[in-house]
Amino acid sequence: MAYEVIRTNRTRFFLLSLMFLTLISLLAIVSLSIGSSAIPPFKALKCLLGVECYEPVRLVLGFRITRTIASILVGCMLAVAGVLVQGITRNPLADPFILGISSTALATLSIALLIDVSILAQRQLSIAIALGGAFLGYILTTSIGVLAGGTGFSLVLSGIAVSALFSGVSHVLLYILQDRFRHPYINLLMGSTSGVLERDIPYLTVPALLSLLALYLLRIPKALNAYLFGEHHASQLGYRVKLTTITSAFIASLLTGASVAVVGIVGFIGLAGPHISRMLYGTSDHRVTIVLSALAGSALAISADIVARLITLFSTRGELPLGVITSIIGAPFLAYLVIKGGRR
Amino acid sequence: MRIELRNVSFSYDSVKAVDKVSLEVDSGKTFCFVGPNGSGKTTLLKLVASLIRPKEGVIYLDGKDLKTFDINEIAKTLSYSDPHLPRTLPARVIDFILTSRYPFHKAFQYFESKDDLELVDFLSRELKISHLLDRRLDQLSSGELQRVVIAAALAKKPKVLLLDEPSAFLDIRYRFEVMDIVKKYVAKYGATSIVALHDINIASLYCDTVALLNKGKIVACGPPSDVFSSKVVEEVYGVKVEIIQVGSYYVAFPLPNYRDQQHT
Repeated sequence: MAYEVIRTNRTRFFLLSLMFLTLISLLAIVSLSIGSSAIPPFKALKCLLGVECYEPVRLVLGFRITRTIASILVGCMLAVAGVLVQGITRNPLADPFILGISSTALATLSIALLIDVSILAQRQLSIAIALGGAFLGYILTTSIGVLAGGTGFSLVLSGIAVSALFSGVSHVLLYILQDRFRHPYINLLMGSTSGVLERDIPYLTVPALLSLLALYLLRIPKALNAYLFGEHHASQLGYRVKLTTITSAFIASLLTGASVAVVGIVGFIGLAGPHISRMLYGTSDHRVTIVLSALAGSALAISADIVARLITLFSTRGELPLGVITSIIGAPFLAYLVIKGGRR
Repeated sequence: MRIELRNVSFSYDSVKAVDKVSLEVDSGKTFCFVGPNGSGKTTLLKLVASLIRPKEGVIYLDGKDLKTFDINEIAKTLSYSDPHLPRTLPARVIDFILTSRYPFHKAFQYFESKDDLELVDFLSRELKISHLLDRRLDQLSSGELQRVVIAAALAKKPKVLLLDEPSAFLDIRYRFEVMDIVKKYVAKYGATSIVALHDINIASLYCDTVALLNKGKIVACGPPSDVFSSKVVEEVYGVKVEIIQVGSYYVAFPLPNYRDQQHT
């Protein structure tokens, strides 16, 4: 019985991963062909494979490849950050955006920019600052949550307070600084891949890979599985609970901080990614859901980016931020989860 | 494994939960804590499980101070089952039981081995939960969950089994079955079990030694028939306890006080 159950799961894990990878590839091709100048998917694919490629097509594709990769990476990073914060708070409503971690990351970055605006060009430094802000935000939100009674809902309410405060602060600071930016400052507040350059990609890739490697080497997935069944259960299995939660929070902060520093605040992917993966897989085993969430997050981010660009086609006023789309898709999803959680 | 507590005390902030408790449990024996709510049963289990450290006194496992054990060694030797499982994120029975095998995995083993699964199969047959393995934890009845919790505790093949209220929420049949399984396990593997029980009826049938706790202190300790026939039990609980001989068993029955008044 146990063997059959586990074998079915492994097969399901494999098939779901395959499905997501196919979906992401298809979406990537669509993403490459959509924009102010449409390139037929077939032509884009041919150019990509190096079969036949004309110069203008190559140029346009270059930009689009960059932003497509950026949205894949950001989606993956936020979704993994989402699984981690959901795991350590054991709260299905947790997400870097809802817990205010993204907002504190941007607020700290904005304060740093107020002191020296050139920091935005120094990616390493701005990621480090955003990481610090994200981690402080996590501590702030969880502390208020504990003071408010330590329930799942008090954590979410405390996150909303922190998020609102620091989004406001970031908005004011970025508003003051707006003349010194190349891009509209709203892009940082609502997240956009339109300003991402090819040289920015490593600043997403490196934190993403480092985090995944750290998760594997520190055996965080199993530790989170044990923690799922309570602090005592985890510690009697030999896990250092405090160390596990702090390390996971730190990794989630790095993932959130890096994506905020490069593309700005994109909400709800960290909520939806893990939920979609758990719904499809049927359970919370972190060894599988971290991988599936990363894939689901990428698929979501890339779809939202496509939608943002489709809407932009009907306007001459510049690009719609990515975070707007994820909010419109994500917020009803949150409402659904709240209703489901409240009924139980 | 022989367990010994010497003058162990513990307090939560300033409230004394365990007060200078000394006791000894030999291998292959089932030792039970009984006592009213808040008498220190769970705290004592947590102390032995090394989840909390004594403020005073020493706990010995086979003569070795518990403090000197490595965290992974403890994880492999002791099993403590917490009956209060958080169930906010969806997880299935099999996922839960399999977490107990983690301490035995090789350094970078990602998934469980075939042996792990065979052990789970064996335990779930014993505890009659095979049909529940792919069910979600939040869909179980409290009796089913209790058996799952015990399966998870046994999945470590522990030398020391610490159970908190294993018979709670179970119907009469499973109450006996679960205790039978615990006894059988203890006898078969030469393990030691310490069990916190509310049900003095079950305690009188299954425990080799019973320690009656009141306000963090052991007020009576010995074979169940001795402890339950003493006046101390009636004083601690504030109810009458009658010992009845059924076949070769001495069974303790708590009786409400008003009955006594009606008879006289």
